[in-house]
Amino acid sequence: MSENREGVAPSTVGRRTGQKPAGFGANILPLALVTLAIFVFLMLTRENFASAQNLNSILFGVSIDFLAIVGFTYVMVMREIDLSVGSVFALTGTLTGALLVAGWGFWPAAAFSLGLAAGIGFLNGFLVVRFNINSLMLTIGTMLIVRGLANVLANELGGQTYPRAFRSLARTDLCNVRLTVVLMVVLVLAGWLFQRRSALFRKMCFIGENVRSATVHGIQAGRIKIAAFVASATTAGLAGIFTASRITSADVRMGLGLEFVMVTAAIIGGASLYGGRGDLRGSALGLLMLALMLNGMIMYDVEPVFQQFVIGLMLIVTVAFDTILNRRREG
Amino acid sequence: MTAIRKTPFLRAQRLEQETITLAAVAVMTLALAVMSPAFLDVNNIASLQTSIAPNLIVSLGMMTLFMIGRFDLSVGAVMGISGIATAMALNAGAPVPVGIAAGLAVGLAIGAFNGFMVAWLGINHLIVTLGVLYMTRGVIEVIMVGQKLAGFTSFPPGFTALGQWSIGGVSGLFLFALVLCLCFELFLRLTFPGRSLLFLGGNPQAAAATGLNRRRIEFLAFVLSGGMAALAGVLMTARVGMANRYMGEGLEMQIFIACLIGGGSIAGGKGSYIGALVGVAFIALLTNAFNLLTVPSEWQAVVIGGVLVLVVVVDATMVLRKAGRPWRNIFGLRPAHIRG
Repeated sequence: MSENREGVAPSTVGRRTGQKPAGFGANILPLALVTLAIFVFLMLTRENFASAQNLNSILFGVSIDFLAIVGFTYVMVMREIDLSVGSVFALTGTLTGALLVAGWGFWPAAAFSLGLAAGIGFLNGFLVVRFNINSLMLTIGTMLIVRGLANVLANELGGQTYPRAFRSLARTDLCNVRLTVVLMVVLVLAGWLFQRRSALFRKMCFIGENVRSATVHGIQAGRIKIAAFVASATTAGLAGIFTASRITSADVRMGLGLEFVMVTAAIIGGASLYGGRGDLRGSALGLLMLALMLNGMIMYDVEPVFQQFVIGLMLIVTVAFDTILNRRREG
Repeated sequence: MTAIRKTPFLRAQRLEQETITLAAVAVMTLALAVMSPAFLDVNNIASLQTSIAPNLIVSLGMMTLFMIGRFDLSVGAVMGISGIATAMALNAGAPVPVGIAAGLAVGLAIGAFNGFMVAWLGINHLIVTLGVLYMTRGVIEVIMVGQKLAGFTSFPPGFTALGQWSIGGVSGLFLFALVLCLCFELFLRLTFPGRSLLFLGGNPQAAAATGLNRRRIEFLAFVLSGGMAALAGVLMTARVGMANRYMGEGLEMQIFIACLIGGGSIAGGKGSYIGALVGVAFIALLTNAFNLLTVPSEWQAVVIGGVLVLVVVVDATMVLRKAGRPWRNIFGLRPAHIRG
């Protein structure tokens, strides 16, 4: 990402020219099998694991995080990255809660918070496109700003619990299944359709492969990128609202490190730091796999603090694979 | 008009951004001295020195990486773990030099791991150092399980003396950091390896074509960064007489921003160690200002992030200007635009 701005052209031009923009679904089956294997392994070795309650809570957690990864995946397709998702996630959730505590109605509060999130996303995208800034750098800056604002809000609230109506939002059921799980399924199907059918997704892949050539061919790379950043911040905000409702009170640690979980999950799911690829189904599976692993570690009584170590290790390992695979394709 | 204009001194020395930051530091110092009577207090000056010294040592390593277009987000965690390693070695009864060596060795090893992954395997340095940050923090937590929050607090007097000496009221650590900074600056300006850092960052292809070993330099720079972070960790442990899980937390972002403000660029090919000093002083003063004016610490992150965004935008504008874009094209409503 960062080192590539200058040296982009020679390394990526000609990569996979003449091929279809991606082997859709190529990664999905093995990934699904690995996830299934982890699942079966945990189910056979730990009797607590397969309890309906545990599985429900894993799925519920994944479905909320998944909302945040939707836009993020498509930002990565275009060879950009949005590290501010975790902070936007926290700010939107906390702000919605704070507005509700202050007596707003739910819909105006949620709309206002999501609007703010979209504004942050637009700012990210606009600055990246207009000034040709490395998105990594810029979003680290916005990450700090937004995180600071979220913490200011959380401290003002001082651990007050949110109104009851808001707390029950995340536990809304639709036909006996959590609303967010239904939403996840719908979004995965929609994402699949989008990736299969939409010219826009092809354009996004093209931008990620080679932005200069895409621009020369009349694709409005700037607009699409800004739209993706807005989408990324908005979906993160949506997930933040559900999470705030789930954890029931303001918490300064909300969404801390989320962005790196997302990078890991997206890359496991077939996205690449080098752009041009990405798959929403894969991202969902990646999140599920990480959640299963962390849950499995708890089941095996591994120190909870060790989770951090594993997340860091997974991040390095997946990116190492990503890099080595990319190099082979170039050669 | 003469055909040849003399290059202005600051540009010739490549100290333009450093000067701007220095001016900001001066303005801030003046403003603080006027606004808060506590600023010039002996205690406050001492605490400023204590906060600048380790950050400066770490930022020297980080600035070296910035010059070649890399950075290291694991420095804060490395600082923490090397302090703990030293403390553990000393608690186990090792003599002081061995304890210090243990701390430094841990830092150098982590730096070598980073360098290996980035330079030889070619993996994105953000991801590697970030992953290492998480892993190191995880290891620290595992080590410190069951320890009290203050961590290790008993050290032999020979070790604590290392961090607490002073000359005429000026903290010895601070002086040490300054001398180190000066040595690095001389190395950068006067020696061939020093010059080649900027050359490598400015144009990697050309540098490789002239026979610079990019991988080796990159590897060594990461080792240096790890080593400097470890040095800062060991010295800070000696200074405060404590090694706990909080040391160096969030430090990486402060150092990162200090280097950017002090004239570094993540694209590489820019920067100086004097700039690192100025940048660190800027961040330290900013933090100090928040404390003196009793602003809640959350706003600190907002301001630091805002400064970062501002610096990045200005940096990008300068790059576009250098590429020959007119101002109205950069700031105009509809720039004719080909990105890439």
